[in-house]
Amino acid sequence: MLRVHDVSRTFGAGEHAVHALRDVSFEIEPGTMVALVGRSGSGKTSLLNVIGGLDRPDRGSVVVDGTEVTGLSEDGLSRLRRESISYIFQSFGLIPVLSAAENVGVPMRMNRAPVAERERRVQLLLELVGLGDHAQQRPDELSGGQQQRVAIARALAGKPRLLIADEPTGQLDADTGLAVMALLRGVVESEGVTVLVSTHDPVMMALADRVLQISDGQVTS
Amino acid sequence: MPRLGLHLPSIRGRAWAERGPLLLIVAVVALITLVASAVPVLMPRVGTDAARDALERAGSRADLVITAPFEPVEATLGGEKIRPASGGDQSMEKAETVLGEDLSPHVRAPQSVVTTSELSVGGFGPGRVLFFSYLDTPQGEPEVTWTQGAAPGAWKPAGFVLRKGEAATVEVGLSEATARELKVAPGDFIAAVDRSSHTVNVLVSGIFRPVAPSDPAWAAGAKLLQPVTGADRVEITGLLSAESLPDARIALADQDIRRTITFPLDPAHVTWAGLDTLAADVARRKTSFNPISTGWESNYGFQSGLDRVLNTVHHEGRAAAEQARVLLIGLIVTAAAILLLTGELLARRRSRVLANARRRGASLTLLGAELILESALVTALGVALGLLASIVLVGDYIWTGALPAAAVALAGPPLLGLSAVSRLTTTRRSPANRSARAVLARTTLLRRIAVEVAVVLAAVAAFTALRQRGLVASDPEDTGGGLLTAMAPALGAVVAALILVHLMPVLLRLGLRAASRTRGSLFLLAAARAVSTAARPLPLTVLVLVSAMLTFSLTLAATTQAGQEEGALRSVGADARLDLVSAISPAEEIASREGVSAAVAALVVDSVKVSTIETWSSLHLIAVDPAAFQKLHGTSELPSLEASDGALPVLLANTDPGLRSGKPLTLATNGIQIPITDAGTAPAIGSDGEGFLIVDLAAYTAVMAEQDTEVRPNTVWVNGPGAGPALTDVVGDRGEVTTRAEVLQERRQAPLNVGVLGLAHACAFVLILLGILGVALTTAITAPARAQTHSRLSTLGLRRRESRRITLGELLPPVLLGSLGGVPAGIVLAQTSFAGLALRLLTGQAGEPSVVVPWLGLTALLVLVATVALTAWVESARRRQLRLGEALRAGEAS
Repeated sequence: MLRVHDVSRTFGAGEHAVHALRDVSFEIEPGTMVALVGRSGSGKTSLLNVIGGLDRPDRGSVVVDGTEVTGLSEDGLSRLRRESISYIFQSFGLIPVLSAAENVGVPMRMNRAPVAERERRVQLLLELVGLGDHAQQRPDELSGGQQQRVAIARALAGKPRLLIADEPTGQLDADTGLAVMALLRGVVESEGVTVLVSTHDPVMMALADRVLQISDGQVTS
Repeated sequence: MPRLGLHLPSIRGRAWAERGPLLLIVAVVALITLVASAVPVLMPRVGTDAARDALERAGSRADLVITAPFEPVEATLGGEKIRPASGGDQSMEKAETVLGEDLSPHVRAPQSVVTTSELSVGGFGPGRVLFFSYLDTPQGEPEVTWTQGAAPGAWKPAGFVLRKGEAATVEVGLSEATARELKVAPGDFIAAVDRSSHTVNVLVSGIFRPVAPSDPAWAAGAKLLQPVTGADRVEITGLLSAESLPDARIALADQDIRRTITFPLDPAHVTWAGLDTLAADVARRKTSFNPISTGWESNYGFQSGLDRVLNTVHHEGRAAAEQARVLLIGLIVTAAAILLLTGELLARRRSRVLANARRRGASLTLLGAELILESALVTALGVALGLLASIVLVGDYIWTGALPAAAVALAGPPLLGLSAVSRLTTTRRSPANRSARAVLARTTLLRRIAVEVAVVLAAVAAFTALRQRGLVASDPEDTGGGLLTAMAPALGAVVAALILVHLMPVLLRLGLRAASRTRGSLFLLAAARAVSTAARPLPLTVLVLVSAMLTFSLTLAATTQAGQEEGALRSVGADARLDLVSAISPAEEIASREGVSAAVAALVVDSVKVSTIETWSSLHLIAVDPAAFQKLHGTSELPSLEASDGALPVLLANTDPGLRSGKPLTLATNGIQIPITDAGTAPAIGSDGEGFLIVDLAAYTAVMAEQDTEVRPNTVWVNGPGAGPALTDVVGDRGEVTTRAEVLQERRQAPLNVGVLGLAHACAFVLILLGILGVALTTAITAPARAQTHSRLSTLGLRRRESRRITLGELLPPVLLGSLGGVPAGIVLAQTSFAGLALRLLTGQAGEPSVVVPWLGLTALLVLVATVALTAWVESARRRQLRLGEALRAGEAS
């Protein structure tokens, strides 16, 4: 599903150069949940950005579901994000004036899915994340955990093969964070999605099928 | 540890980091300071130019004229006159004394004209009357060439005693035209008889030709050069010399010879500042002039139209100054809003830095002091640059005009900055109790409503004052409206902005609701972003102010220009007008000329008396063929002027209502009383707003013929593209031609018109610049939030071009609503306030001009739309430089 090979990424140059990733290589099987663990500044976000095509490596290759990500054009990357890869962020990234249902429906609108199909799937996804009764509420009317659930539903709306979550529980309390991770675990089981989630919470790691340790830009296990 | 003193490195660092917005504040303050300090400098200069221009145009109306009788000729005890040694006396010195120290500095050297009563002349054809005239200028008698004979000489030596009943002889020179008219030559005698039937022998000493006929000296003695042919007589004037003047004095009765001393006003010595005083001095002299109360000297007189000319131009100048003030206030209010918008941008960009400074121990007071120090330096720099530019461009400055913008630049950014820091660093808990939260929300809402109601009430008060009193009161003692009245249009624009600020979220939410029913994402995402940013009132306020004041300024300019055209037409009465000197009307000949569509002859009498048994008015009389007049003016059909009850039917306009009470009317002219009847209202013509009546020329001629009085038209109105040239070709020296184009050009080139229209266009230009700044600032303020949203949407697959469209969709609604909403607001402001601005004083119309909206000029607002497109493109290009990962990191951090 995902193959990362010999990827390096350096920010800046000369004495001030920061080697965010150094010769990173690993593979992930489809339908698994992998936790990427490391301290702050270890290179987690840099690695997730390179995998998702948000950033280009200086060297190496990333293949997602048979597609070489590093060689794609801007339009190609946009298509990949619409069809194969989704993101979940620490700060949710919902659009404040839209309802939960409208937020979830945005990726399907981008793919110009028929209205009826969109409405059906949005309702399905909101029920999947336990917010079927909150469809018309706006983000500021929801708790942090509920907002992250809406973000997860939105990430799943485009039926992605790979779901990348960057510290999805960073702004949540422990219980809510655990519930969100459990939801992601459930998504892997029910939707067959591959999930790559960065975290530094040991409790979260227990839910993952595999844990990748990253330190100073190198994946050590 | 808390920081106790100002930290200059922090101030320098923050200023350097935000040098762009700070320089923008410097530029706006400098620009507004330049305009606000230079215009008050220019207005008195324009006023002075206008006064001098008006005085030049007024010509002899502005002269100070003293009529002085001659001291009685010395006589023997038996009443026999003794010939004086010269024609001079003390009247010139006395006249200069009359002027006094207040008026003397404003006049040029006087010209003296001696004139006599008419003498009947026999043997040279019917209706010949003779006058004597002697011209004396500071340069002496005007130069002539004696083509035949010689200058008039003395008939008798000084001390000669003229016996009673003896006819005196007076030598005169005649112009070539006059000699031709009388068919006389040097050496011929003309027997003339005065009002007392005394015979005067007039000896033609020579025939002269003026060396310079255009010499102003001849203006006072034009009849010397050309006989004047009237309806029933020909007036002839003979030129006296210094030598023959004493003979004329013993030949005529003392009261039949008089001197008129004319002091031409020197416009170079008139200034705007001294206009009021000069007019008052002249008016006072007119009412109080009585140098000698008894005897022959009581016939001294003082006349001048100078006070009326000066009062008129002063009134016009005040109107122009008030119009300029209204335009400037609109500009300053808009600039103040731009400065606040820049302050908001600064506050947003540096709020985190300031919040960190506060967390590290700096108090709000200390941060406020640092921000005020920064804004004081920035404001001082802007004001200094503006004043410097004013000195360079106009040579002086009036700094008070810069105060409002400087105050906003000084206080606005620090207050907004502190407010942002306070919000970020003060942990103010929201009440847990729902009703307490509701009370808090209501209190905030009430505060906002109170401010808005105060603005609305101020605008209502200002408009009420403007409409009731106007900015320029007709009474010179009334100073007209004050600052609040002059602020009416600007306050009206602010009220319009408030209405649109409340309206825009409603409209956008409707748009969002409609977008949510669509299949695609762009409309929804653009509407969502637009709703998010619509909560801030300042950007829309700026755009509405720009649009409304731009519309107001351009409408004022267009209305004034159109009014000038209308005023020129009303003033002339047609495309061209001929004021006839000759008794023969060339109307038919002119009508046959190429390029002439209509030529109408009329008799225009400036003042006739129309009365009822209870009241009377002095009106202009226009005797004209009604059908031709109607065709000339393109008016609807005039009421019938057919006589019904024996009285002459007339059309009345602008008259005393008492004349239209239904009571019998009488027209009095040349001592003839004519019964008239009110047949209806005349169409609006003329530019002075004075009353007039129209009568059928044929019927009037018939009525006057019954009184043995001949009616001859003295005016010809001509329409058509070739009207002016046709009149000039046909008329020659038989009359004076005035064309509409000339009058219009004169009005357009009048200093006050040039000044006000120039300022209106300059304001429009600066407003467009401020509008562009407003759009750019609005884009900059919302850019960080937009970048974050678009980055996240990019992770969902949003393409660059879609991102650009969403940006446009977010930014365009407020610009379109602000621009389009501001236009009708500006038009309404123009319609409600122009009556109070007294535009008629600059257009030369009788009433206020109709509002003309310059739709083509308003397309300048498209620049704002283009600015949105450009900023969206620039923003998208800049985002392209940033990798998505970096953008998301920045978004997380912000």
